[in-house]
Amino acid sequence: MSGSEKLSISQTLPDIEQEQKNVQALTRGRLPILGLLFVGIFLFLVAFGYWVAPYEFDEWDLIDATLPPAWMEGGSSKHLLGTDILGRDVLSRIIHGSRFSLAIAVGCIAVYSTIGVTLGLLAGFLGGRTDMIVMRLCDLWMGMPAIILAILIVSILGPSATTIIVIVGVTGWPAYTRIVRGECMSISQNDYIKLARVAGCRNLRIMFSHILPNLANTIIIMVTLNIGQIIILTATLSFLGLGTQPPSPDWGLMMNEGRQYINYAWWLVVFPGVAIMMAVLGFNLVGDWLREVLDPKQRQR
Amino acid sequence: MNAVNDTIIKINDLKTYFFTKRGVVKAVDGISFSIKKGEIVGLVGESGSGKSITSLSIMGLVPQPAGKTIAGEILFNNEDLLQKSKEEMRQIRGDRISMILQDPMVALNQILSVEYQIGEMFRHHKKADGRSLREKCIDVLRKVKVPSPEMRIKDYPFQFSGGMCQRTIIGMGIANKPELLIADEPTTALDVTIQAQILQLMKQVQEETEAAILMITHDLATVAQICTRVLVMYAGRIIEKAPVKAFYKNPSHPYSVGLINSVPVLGRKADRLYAIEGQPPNLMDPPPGCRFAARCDKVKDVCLKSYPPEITLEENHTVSCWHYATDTE
Repeated sequence: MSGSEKLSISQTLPDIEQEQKNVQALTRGRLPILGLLFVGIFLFLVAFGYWVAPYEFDEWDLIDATLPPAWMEGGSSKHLLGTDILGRDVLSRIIHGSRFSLAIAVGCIAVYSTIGVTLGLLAGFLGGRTDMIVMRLCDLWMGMPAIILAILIVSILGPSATTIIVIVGVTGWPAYTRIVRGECMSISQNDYIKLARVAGCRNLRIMFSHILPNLANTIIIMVTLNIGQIIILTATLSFLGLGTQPPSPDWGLMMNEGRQYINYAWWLVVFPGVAIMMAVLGFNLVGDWLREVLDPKQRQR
Repeated sequence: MNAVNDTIIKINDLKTYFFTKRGVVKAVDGISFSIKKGEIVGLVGESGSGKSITSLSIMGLVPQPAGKTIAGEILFNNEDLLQKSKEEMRQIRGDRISMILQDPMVALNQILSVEYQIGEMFRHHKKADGRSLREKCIDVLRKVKVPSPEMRIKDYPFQFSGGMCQRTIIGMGIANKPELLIADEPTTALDVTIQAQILQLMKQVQEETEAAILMITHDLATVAQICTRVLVMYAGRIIEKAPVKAFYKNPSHPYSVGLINSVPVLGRKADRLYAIEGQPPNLMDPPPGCRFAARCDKVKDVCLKSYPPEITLEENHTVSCWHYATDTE
């Protein structure tokens, strides 16, 4: 008995080293801080934008229409980033738009990670014919150009935020399925899965209670890295007029609306674009950083 | 020898093959044995001789889809397990037949708590819930002598030492008082002092629960310590069955002799440890005769031609070797 207790004490020693390494990995480099800052601003605007924004997103005023940003000649201190053709405040619309972007991104991820992870688990765990069918389905899906599919779906469902979620949801899952399947296959080889079978667990229970928690890191990293892509994709769809409809303050839609006035009102396109860029860059940096922290295999570089 | 009512499990001519792209691997190729209530039977043999596949066949957990049990019977209390449906097997597993796995550090899921994992043994069989489930889990740890089980129950496996993990796994194995417990090299991954403790614990547990134990090992010392009978497996077949004492006093199959000779003995000086020359045969294409013939120093013509019959030397002691066939003729 005392032997086993001694063992447990000596086992805590490498943990301290590991913890130091963890701390080092957490604080390494400045880029993650930039990423966290961008994501922080983004999330702050999502949460409190309603109170922070100086105007409503659809509050128009034709007298103050097409004002340049405040620091330019003719700009007004009432509209920091200028106004659009209907006199709506660009800054306020960008702030309100953050909520749209995140809501849509979260919706998309919820849809496609559910589909992707479930199919990946089934394919990786059951193997054999199930695996083959799911993987061929993946190949088929990945071969389909997302934008063409999007136009098809929009023509059926009509353009709206829900449509975007459906489009991204049904096109994005194969990436998740492939990664989850691979991880699931290697986890399934572990003795503790065998032990769960010995205990008499059903397949579904093994998949979702014993394998899925082991995938948490992978899924968190994938989701963070994906948010950026989805924000771009939804902006693209809105820009093409396939997504949210006016007067929604969607960033992609704002760029589309400003496109025709770009010659004399560049701020209508540039500022929403900068917002998209910052959000995407932020999530990508945070995603990379999380991968470094959560995935010990990557850390040895 | 087989009074039907106290035979827990009887295996007749079991064949488990693996169908791979390169050919059929005959991992277990026609083995028969039985275990009586309260017995501890050792199944020994080198790596790749089919010990683990035998145990997985009994559990119905042969790796799919390559592996398949293609022939034979596994009579568990006179019911053929091979005829059972998946759902029936699932209910038997963990409840009436249980298993202890080899490496304690990888046999527990590092990110689920010990309580949750022990609980799995109950959740699927005895409908225990909430507080009674926790009580039962603590009982399991207490039974296998993990210190202060009430505190440790919430821990995660990485907070346990190797010995404690193995105790936990043994506890899980016996949680539902199974009639048959298969222990797949339960002490191989542990250091010697812990090994002794674990073996002692297993023996004690066996006396309490009256489970029959099939102890799979390649460690002859383990066999000598706790088993009552020994089965020696070589290249997918059982080549010798003997009571432990008879086995050590009078090992009969040349392979068994080699096994016992290759154990280092304390105090005996030898320049080199004895080793059996050669490699076991390829199980995709095993020789028609005795599978040990190529490495055997008593090899005869007949050994290469046909497989030897099972020859009874004395009560409960049988061997599959032509060497003894000629003796009796």
